[in-house]
Amino acid sequence: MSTAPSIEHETGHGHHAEPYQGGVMRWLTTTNHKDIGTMYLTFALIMFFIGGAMILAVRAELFQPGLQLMQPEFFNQLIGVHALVMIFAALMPAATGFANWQIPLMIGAPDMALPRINNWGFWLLPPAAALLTLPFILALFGIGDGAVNTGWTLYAPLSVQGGMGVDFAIFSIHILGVSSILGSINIIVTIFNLRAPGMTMMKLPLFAWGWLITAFLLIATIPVLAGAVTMLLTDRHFGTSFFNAAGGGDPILFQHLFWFFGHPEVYILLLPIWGLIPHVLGTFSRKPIYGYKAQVYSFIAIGVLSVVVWAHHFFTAGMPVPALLYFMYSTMFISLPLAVLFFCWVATMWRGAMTFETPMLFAQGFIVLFGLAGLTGLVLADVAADAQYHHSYFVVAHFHYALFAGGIMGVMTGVYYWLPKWTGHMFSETLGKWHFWLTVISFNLTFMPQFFLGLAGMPRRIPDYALQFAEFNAISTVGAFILGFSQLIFAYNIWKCVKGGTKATDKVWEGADGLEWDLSSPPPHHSWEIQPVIK
Amino acid sequence: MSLVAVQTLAGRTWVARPNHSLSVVGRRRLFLVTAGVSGGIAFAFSCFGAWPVLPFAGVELLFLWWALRRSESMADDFERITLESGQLTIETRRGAQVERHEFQPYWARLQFVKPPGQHCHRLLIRSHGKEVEVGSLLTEEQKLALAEELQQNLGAA
Repeated sequence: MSTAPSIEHETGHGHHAEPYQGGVMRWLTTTNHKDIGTMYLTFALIMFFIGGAMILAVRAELFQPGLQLMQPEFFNQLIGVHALVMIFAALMPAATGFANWQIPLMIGAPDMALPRINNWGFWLLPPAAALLTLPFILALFGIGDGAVNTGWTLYAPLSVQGGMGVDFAIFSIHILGVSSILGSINIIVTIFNLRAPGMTMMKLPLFAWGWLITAFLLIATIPVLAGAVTMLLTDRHFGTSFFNAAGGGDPILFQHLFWFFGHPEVYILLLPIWGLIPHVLGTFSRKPIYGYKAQVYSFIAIGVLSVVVWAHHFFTAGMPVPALLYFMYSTMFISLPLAVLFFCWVATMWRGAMTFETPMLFAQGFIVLFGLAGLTGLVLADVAADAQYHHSYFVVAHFHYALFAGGIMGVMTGVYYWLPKWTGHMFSETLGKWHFWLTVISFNLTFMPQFFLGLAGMPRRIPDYALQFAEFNAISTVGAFILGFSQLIFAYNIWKCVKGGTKATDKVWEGADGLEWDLSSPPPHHSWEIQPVIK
Repeated sequence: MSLVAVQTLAGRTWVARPNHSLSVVGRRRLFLVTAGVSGGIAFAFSCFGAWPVLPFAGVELLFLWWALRRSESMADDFERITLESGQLTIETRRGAQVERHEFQPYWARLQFVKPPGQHCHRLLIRSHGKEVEVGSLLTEEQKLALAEELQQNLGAA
């Protein structure tokens, strides 16, 4: 005779909890996607302030004509390192931080596919950032001649002849590239392999789609940048002549290589933001995202087009007329899928029950100001107009509308949108609104005058200028300082939210839709222990 | 995750596998397309004299291949519970680690436990001081279904 065993439903039994290290070791050794996401975002915020401090020094110098605060050499170093820090050490890590935190939560995965690689990807960043900024400190002790002073583009032959800072920048770029590749491959494998059952590619959240295209763009372009800076290194120290015309090389080849990476880099920075904006618009309009498929196909089209338009960055370097025409028209063609995105964003809000909490305000600011970046980009895409505006402050204003209003304000949108989910606390709406209005007003105060400076003929990357540009430069500097200091409100609001505040609900926002909102706020250390199934 | 039950003349077998949304064919296609594009770009630039791009593209693609292979090997993880010839056998594979446990069905006890503060249940099989967790690859519903099926079959054994 056999007795049927009963299934005992028990509670209160010990659990196989993962050993959870405290202190510094937790952060050094963590493989948890949320910890690593937090580290990326914290690192990005710190580097954002370091890069910002550099450019405030530059703007202080430009407050009035003449040399007041620094020598031209140091001015050039600040300009170049500011750009490298903001692009590689602030914006890219912020987007990667979002990916780490959100992609597993949004696709129903327990973690990233390669958690240890994820840890290495992050910990390569601090040494790379140190390499970028170390030459400043070494110069204080009389070692070397300061940081890279060629601008972030490292154009040859100037960079072939440059000082020790160029070598530091080359090695830093190599390390940052490795970090980006590790992150990209991890994201690709995670999205393709760890989606919850039922989540087909056409049910993937738009944020994950944006990051997927970004990851493929990084894989396609980082080896080209790595090859270019390696060729630069061998030209500098090993007697090769890749970019040295005297030795049979071609300086223009460097521009082709650099911008083959550099132009897609703009979309690498922006695609994750374009992915998150529809989620925010849908949430605060209390409507489903409009044109999901159209947006996915637009992401793909923009990704493909972004690698075939690079030479519009150096129309004035000289190229055959058919090439000029090809790069002009192909660049303008990108505006078509971008117009589709803008249409979908507006249509998502159309007749929605809109409310304007801080994330929605930032999303609105993003749409309007990034729209200006797109329109001024069309002006620069025109070969004839570009001959006038190239290397002028018009270009500086254009790419800051793209990368500050489009990139950094997009990151701020995402932080305010997901911060309550990450911390379990609501942030201060009052401080958030102050932050938004001060940022938008001071941003326009800083960069709108630069369009007119550029149209009037003021060249970029100069520490001194003609008297006719004095007033607009003074306005721009005042705006820059207000913009810089208003970011302290952002940091304080985050700090306050991390430390405590009103408890956030699991869904956080009334109109929020997506898997991540089914988890608790903050999510458990191991997300999705119960595998969700998408109907 | 998938749970498949197979009835044979000798007894019954349940096999659980983890969730993997990319098929083997899909994995190969993904690699080939990525390698084609990235390798093509590197080859094109090398034709214009920038041959140092090639090794970087090669290393990157090797890493992508390794990452996909690794995720493929994780897809081979399984849990197999076999109840036949008066023997309950549990075989598990996690990466390279393979384990096998045997129980006598008469003495085996099933426990469906929810530890405090945790979101999911654990399904444990215990006997003679030995405890093995099964169903860790399954959803909560699948785990409960497996527990009920195991209960019926252990009772009939």
